[in-house]
Amino acid sequence: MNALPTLLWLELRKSQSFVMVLAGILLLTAVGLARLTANALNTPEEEAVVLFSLAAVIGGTLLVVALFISARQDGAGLLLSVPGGLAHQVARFVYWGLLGAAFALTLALLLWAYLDRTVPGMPGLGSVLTFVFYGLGLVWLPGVAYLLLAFSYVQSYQLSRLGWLAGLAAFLGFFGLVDVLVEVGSKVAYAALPPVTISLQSLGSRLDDIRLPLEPLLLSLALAAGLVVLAGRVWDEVEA
Amino acid sequence: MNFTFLNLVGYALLAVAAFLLWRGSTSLSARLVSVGFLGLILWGTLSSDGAAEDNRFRGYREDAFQISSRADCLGCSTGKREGVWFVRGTVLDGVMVLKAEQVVAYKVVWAGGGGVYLDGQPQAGGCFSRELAPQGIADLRFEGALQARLEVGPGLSCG
Repeated sequence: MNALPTLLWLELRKSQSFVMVLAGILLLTAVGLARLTANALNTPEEEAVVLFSLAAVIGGTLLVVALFISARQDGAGLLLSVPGGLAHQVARFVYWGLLGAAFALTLALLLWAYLDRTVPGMPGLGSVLTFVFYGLGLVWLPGVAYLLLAFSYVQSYQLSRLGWLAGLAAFLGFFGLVDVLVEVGSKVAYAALPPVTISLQSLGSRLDDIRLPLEPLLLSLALAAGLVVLAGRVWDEVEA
Repeated sequence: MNFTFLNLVGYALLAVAAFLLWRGSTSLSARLVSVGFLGLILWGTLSSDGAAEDNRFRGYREDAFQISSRADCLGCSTGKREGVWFVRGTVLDGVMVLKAEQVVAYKVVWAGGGGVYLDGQPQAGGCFSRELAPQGIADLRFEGALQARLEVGPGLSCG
């Protein structure tokens, strides 16, 4: 695992421009939030949420696109010794996982900082961060792992020129996997472990507390780990 | 398994894809991943053939009352706690009809959304409760109510 820092640095080199763009989106969101004013149609809070969703959708799409582009470039030629496939995949997984997490956390922090000033009884930063971390673990980490596996998998069909079919299978299989995850996740949810509870009582309404079940999260994380290991094996066999 | 013409074409395509993808790579892991992906696709088509996916809670019946629903219900759950039966959803939209066999009380709590109507009359305040005499009928219409809950049981009121 000595190669990990080097590989992480290579990932950063490959995706520098995207990191800049993401930082730009965050900056624009911050400026936008600071300049929100009341108008006839919407309250500033609603506009803040719209701005936030817009930034999240654009940023999330960009992250996936950047992952696509960066996974196609091979920067490992610069290394003196060739690390194993697992090291490569773990490095990519860690890098893109962290990048997505940093983006989501900063964005959530911006929105929270805005709403905390304007909405009375806004739940504390801890609850918001819990929510963001839960979402990242549930969706983003297995998503990244799936993309990494899909790339190495499609690459292993380059020689037989069946990359298009493999890509199609990987694309369609994704929906099947989501189906299975939802089905299994909803069966095991709340079964064994106490849920993480986020209280909304301070908002002064009749909203129920949000109870996030831990079982689907663990399922997602286990899936992510499994997919990364599998992606490492495919990498090894493709290079060999 | 369904065996309409289109389904058979689908299965044949999957089989051809499985053959091509198994032959197309020298990597054992990639072949197994192929099998996994195709299995997931097959599973998806099979499960969508069987039970139609909808978010409808159709109805519920017990001695004291019966309820029938033509409402879309996202994130819906039902249950019974301390003698009070409830159905709750993150978004409830549509009509539910509650019919009493014996004297029952019911309560509707909601937040956000377009509002809740009882027998065509819009209700205010995010909560109301009524009592139904035997053979009484309550016609409840939820218009995109976010976070709504209907409870039926003894002694309910909006505290």
